[in-house]
Amino acid sequence: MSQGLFSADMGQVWALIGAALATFLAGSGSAIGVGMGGRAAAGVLTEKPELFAKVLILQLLPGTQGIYGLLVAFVTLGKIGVLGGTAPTLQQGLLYFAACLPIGVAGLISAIHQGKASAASISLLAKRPDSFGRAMLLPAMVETYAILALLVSILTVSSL
Amino acid sequence: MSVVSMKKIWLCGLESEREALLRLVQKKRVLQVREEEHRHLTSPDVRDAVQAAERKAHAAEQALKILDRYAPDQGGLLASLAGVPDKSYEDWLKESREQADLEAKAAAVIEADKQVTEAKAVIVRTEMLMENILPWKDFPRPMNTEETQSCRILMGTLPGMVPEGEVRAFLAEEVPEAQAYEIEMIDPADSQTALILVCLKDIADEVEDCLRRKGFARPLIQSDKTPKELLAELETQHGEARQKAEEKENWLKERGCDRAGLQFLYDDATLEKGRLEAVAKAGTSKEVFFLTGYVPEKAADALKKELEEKFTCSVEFCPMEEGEAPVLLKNNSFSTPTESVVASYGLPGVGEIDPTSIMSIFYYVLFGLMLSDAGYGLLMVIGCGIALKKFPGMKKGTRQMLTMFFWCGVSTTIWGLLFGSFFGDVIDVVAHTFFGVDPAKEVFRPLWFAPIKKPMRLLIYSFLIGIIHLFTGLAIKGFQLLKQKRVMDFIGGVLSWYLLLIGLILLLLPSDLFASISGSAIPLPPAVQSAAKILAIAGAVGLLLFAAWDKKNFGLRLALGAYEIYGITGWLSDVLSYSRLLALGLATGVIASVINSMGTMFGGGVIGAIIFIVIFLVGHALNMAINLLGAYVHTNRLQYVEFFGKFYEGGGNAFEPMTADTAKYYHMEDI
Repeated sequence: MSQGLFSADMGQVWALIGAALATFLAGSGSAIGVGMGGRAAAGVLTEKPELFAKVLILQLLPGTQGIYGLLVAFVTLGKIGVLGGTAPTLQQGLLYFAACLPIGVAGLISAIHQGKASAASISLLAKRPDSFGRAMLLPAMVETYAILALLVSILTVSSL
Repeated sequence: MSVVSMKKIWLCGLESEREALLRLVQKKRVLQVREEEHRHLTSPDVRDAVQAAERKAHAAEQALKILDRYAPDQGGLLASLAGVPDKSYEDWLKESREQADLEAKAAAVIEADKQVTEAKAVIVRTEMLMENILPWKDFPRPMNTEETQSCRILMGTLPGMVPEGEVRAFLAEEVPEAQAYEIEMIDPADSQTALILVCLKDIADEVEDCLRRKGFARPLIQSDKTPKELLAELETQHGEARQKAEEKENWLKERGCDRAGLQFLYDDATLEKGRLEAVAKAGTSKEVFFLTGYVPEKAADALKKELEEKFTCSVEFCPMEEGEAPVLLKNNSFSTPTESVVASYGLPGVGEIDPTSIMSIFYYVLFGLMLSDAGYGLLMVIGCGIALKKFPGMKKGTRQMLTMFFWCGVSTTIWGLLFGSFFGDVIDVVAHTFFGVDPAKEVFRPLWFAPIKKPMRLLIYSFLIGIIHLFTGLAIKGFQLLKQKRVMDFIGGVLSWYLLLIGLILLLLPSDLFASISGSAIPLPPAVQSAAKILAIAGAVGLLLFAAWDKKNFGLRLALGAYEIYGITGWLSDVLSYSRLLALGLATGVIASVINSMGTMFGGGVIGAIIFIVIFLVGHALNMAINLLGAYVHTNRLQYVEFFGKFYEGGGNAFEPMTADTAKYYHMEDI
């Protein structure tokens, strides 16, 4: 039996690292993105408090990546003997690890950039309160790539 | 269903009746005045009048804000849903004549508030001065006593607590020539030390400079009255100001009764401004005015009849150019709520049909599929249903939005039942944990299948829905082209695409690639397969030859055609984009299940049940909120980018009639 990270009994550890990455990378991205939106929103609200509901929605848009990460993590935890299922072999554990990467990395980066787009949309809304539909759509474009990553992650995890 | 057809009208009437006529037009809400240059007529200068109306509205608004401070209106959280009260046209006209009274009321409120502010400023100032003078209260001479024949008297304060010895030591060091002086410490307090220093005139300047460096400051008031007299005077001023502020505040607190009038003043001034803006677009002579505008065809004859009956005026219908008319959408009650979705993308332009009714069906279906939980759907249906029933007078925009979410809720409920999701898997979880049902037994079964168990199956269906959605968009494009008799564009831009895409799909279905995604290929008879090949090739050739048929240069035409075929990648990414239907649907269901299993971590029993209920309420409220947002945003995206991208540009101008609906507090009835 070999030693270290690649010994035969490390499968569960690898899977767990994967779940952790999915949660904290995507979650950190969302935190940064929502934070950017929040700062822009607070600025707009000083002048136009009546826009609260609308800017809140725009601020929350980059928050979904964190949820996607959580989702993948939970499905993983439910299969690897933490919340259910059985502890995976080393090979399976590495597969889980790989499956968690897309939503972790794409979630992190897309949430940050969606946050920037959200902040810009909030400024757009401040000048033209009637263009909420358009303002909402621009950040939503960025999210597409997080959804694609989520899809690959979740399809892989649930088929393993 | 469609874009309302419009008529262009010429309206000529008497200047003397202009105001009354425009009021009626405002009530009817069917005439949009057109901006135009009128030859031989002058454009009236309404800037001063507009400003006057704006001032009135502003005064009313300001007065209302003051009243909100002193006599707040008891309105609940749901008050905004209740809408605004109706007011009949006759009442409106009658009250409008009393506008001057209302203006006076607004001015009185604003003036009273100003007096309160001023009185409060006096209170603050007198209090500060009294504090400043207080240390000198026993000084028997006027405050501005400066000098005797040979001495200077320095009155003032030093910051902090300074003992007499310290002052003397300091002076001895800085101004050694000063020997003869007298200090009286008046009031040594923590914050400041008041003192009087008497010294010979020849060294007075040096002594004062030296004290100033220590922070010496003379009293704020220099007066020929004694401190006692001053204090008494300030006391009186203070008392008077206090009394006045209280009096005015009490008066303002009773002015809640003026609120209705002030609100009316605001509305009336706003409508007045609307009429003036219409006047600015009209042409006038000494006796008559003339304007052009647009009226929906259905309302045109009635408007003409009513105007000509009531006023000395002439209404004529006149021809107009294509694409000139402003756009108003008309749909049935099922689709109308999604008009705002279309409008925020852009209203139909020249040659485009109103996509609302077709889009609304997809809108509800896609929204429901993304949220797909019967529990959340029922909450939406019940919440929106109650609000719509209970507040019939709510504003049009709010009503439409709630109606839209009502139908979205219905769709969500249906999809939830199909996929077996009711607050996630709460029924099973509760049955297993609290009622001892065998955990292996499924209690609440999906009517169709559970996406979490067969995600690939739902992925395929998502793509299928996407293809239907996109093909519908392409069909609308074809319809629009045929309607405009652009047959060649139809062949090159629509028909060829259908052939190519259907051919490719039929080729894909029996292939290994499809089998590897869905688990099983769909076998097709060889005849269909060879037909599919022919279709695909015919489509590709059609695109190559006809996509740019209007180009004279044949080489360029082929090159552009080839580029059009490259657009197949766009179709691929469009279809893949519908995978979000699966992703968001799974997100709702899985997170809901996670919340439920977190709730059961403390087991059964009473305490377990209480903890479960708390986690259930908080968790599902959060999950529902975030997924509602997601479903809403991504439904819009699929409509705007994928669906509208196939056929729709928008770019029509909205129909903006003269209307009494710019009023904020009252709704003018149109009977």
